Amino acid sequence: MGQSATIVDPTETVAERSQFVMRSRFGEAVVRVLLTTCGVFVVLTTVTMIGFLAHAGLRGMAMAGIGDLLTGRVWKPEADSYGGFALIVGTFTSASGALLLGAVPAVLAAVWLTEFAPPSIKVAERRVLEVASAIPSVVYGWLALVYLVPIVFSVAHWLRGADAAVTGEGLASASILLGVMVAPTVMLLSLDALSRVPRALRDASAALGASPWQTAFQVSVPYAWRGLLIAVFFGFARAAGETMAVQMVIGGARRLPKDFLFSPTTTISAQIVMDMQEARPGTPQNDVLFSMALVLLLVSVVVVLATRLLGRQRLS
Amino acid sequence: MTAARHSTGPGVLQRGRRAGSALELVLLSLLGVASILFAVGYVICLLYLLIKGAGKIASFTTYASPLAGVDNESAMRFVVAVCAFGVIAWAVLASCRAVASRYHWWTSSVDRVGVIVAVVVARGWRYCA
Repeated sequence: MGQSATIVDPTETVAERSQFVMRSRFGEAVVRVLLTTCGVFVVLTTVTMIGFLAHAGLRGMAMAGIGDLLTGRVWKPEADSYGGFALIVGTFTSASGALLLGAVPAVLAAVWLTEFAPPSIKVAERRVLEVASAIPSVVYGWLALVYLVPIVFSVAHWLRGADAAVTGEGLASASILLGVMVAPTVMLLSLDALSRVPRALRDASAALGASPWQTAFQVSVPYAWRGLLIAVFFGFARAAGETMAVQMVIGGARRLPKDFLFSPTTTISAQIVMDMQEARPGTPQNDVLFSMALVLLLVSVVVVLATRLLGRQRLS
Repeated sequence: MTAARHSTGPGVLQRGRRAGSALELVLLSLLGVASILFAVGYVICLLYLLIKGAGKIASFTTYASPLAGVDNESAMRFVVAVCAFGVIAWAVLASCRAVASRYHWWTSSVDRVGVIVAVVVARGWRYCA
């Protein structure tokens, strides 16, 4: 289109030609201004959001005390007691459990699919996972509440005894649920990372006499290490920030779990959702919720920075 | 004979004789089975959701629930019904078209007849309900 428009017409006058050039330049300028505005808008929105979160969060931290907020054991806003230790432990434990149960198998499955599986299976599995990653988290939460929690309840009583004070709600259910939720995303990202390994590297490895297994785990995986790491940490960040689904299965108890796996507890995001209805803007409770949101944001930032750092170290 | 002797000779590189090849094979098989089961689990979950959800939608629509008296409720119901049944009809037609066009059964006239049949069935279903 552009090429055909630039062909010089012999009957075209100089005035027409210069008018055409002016129109093109004006269009380019308009598009450039629009794109710049969009870019600036995105950056400004993000910076403003982080700034607002930091302002309200730091106010809440100053009010409640950083030490109490991070290490205090009692979260009771109605008594002005804001100990967020149980929330932080719940968040980290459930996200770590999700990594163990969901991300690690997803990465291994991605390695098998990329290196060993027939193309038809690879395509079919990819389609399934694309659909699975698009399912809303509340659907996963509902399924877990209806089917997973009773199973975990039975397992808990089988492991701890019939008289034990355990329930199906808790870190075990939350970790399994989050693992199931993050696995498709981690696997799709891992597939992308592994598919970027050059064919020549695999061929060279095979030519040197390496077995397919050795090629996969000593050539492809190290090459795609950074992408795999990003996939895993992305899964961690998603698991740590997940709200609705976790709230449905974790029990909502504002304390450390009595039984580490099978007692109700809570996470930062789930607690924010539960407390936000009573936290009116401007109240100390509202500021403390912003503080916990800031902690969650800092966790995500640390995870992103760690990913970049580890990836860079590995590359160097 | 020479070839057979070469292939079984002690100095020949063979995948089956490589140290740890049996372990690799076992791990590879386990990884493959686990990977396929991983996807099968999601497929079962998705199919269950689809079948159970479709059954619930069908059971809800086989009897009419009275209007609750909210403003513009009938219009809202109409919009919801158009969206829900439109999506279902589009999905069914697209699936049929994809299968049929693979075998060159699908033509524009069949397309028109399909739409008419779908509309008639939908109307008939509503009358029966």
